[in-house]
Amino acid sequence: MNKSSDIPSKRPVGSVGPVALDESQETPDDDARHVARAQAGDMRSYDILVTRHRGRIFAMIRNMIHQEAEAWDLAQEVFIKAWQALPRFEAKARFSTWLYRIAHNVVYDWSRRRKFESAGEFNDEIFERNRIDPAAVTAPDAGESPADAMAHGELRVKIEAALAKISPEHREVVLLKDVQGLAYKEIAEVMGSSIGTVMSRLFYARQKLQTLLKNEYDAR
Amino acid sequence: MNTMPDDLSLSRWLDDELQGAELATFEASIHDKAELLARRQNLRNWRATLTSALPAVVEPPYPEFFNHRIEKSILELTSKPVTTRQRGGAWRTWWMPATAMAGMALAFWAGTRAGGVTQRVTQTHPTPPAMIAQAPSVYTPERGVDAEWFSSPDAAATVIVLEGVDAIPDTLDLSETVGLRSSRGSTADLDNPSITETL
Repeated sequence: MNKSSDIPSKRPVGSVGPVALDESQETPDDDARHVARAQAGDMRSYDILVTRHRGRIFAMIRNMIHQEAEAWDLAQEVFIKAWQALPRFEAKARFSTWLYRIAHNVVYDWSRRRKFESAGEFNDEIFERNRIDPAAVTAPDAGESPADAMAHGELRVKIEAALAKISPEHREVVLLKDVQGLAYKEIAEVMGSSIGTVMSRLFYARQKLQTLLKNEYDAR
Repeated sequence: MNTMPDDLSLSRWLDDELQGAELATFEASIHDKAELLARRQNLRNWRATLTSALPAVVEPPYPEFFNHRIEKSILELTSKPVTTRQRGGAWRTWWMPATAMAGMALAFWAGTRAGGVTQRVTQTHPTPPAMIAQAPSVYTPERGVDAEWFSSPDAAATVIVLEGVDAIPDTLDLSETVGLRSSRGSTADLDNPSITETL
């Protein structure tokens, strides 16, 4: 698969916000059109789909594993696997939800590989705060003042530290619901669990995070 | 008549998932609206806090290269020959090991026969490995810079032309771009004492 070493050494920090290409401004319904063309082998349409969804998939994976270079590789893996599975994709779910499902599997496979390679117990240590690259700060929006940028940067570090203290399942459900904005039903599809489980995990994850971030949260 | 909302509907309302008729029906069924409105506002604040620090969309570094690598991987995958499992039948299970054993025995016999023969070894010039015709993967990280490549098998050369790169001024001393100070340990160092002395 793609190795980080293949990436140019001087990598810019990822930019935040919607992607710049015109294709990204299309409505979600346009996904179906591009998917149909991609299923017929049209790489250009698939490239458009990649462009439209790479920002969300990369953000989701990066927030899950807190490793920029690995997230870059894993996000690519998601789109390659999606291409391979595209003939089996049916328009029962949104294309984006389907991609999140593949991303879920890719991240958990990666976690299992890490567990196997390190021959250790699977726990949150791999997501520990001290493994978060402090240099991987996302470029702030152009309109953000330096003071706001610093405040957001500090808040981000604190939120990431809090997220690192909860289980991957709780982290994922919070990210899917509160950051990515998926519906309960979609989260259940992505995580392969019941809606009741999603509701329960979300309730406890939010409680735990709000406790961990009490000072920050109350100040806002 | 039970007018209490179910947990899922309540959760969906608190998370602003309900719309249209569903929303109207739900809001008509709730009594203690003030308490629920406070809870919903609390969740909205929570989401605003999270999304202000963790954006839902983050472009991956080098997005064009990101797409290019995906396309390249897909093309590599699709160009691989499809391996299909052949139906061999039960005879394969004993025939293949037997053939392998016979081959080994034949090789051993040939080796013993060739042992006494004087062999004349002729030294030939090593031939370079055949060049594999492969399209180069060209990527330009700078916006506005386009790259084209041309290949000439006759000249055994590939030329990459960059359009949109700023002109290199004549005053630029290219030797300054080379690491001269570390005279050891780098194969990129210039091996020219006259130059290094002037530094």
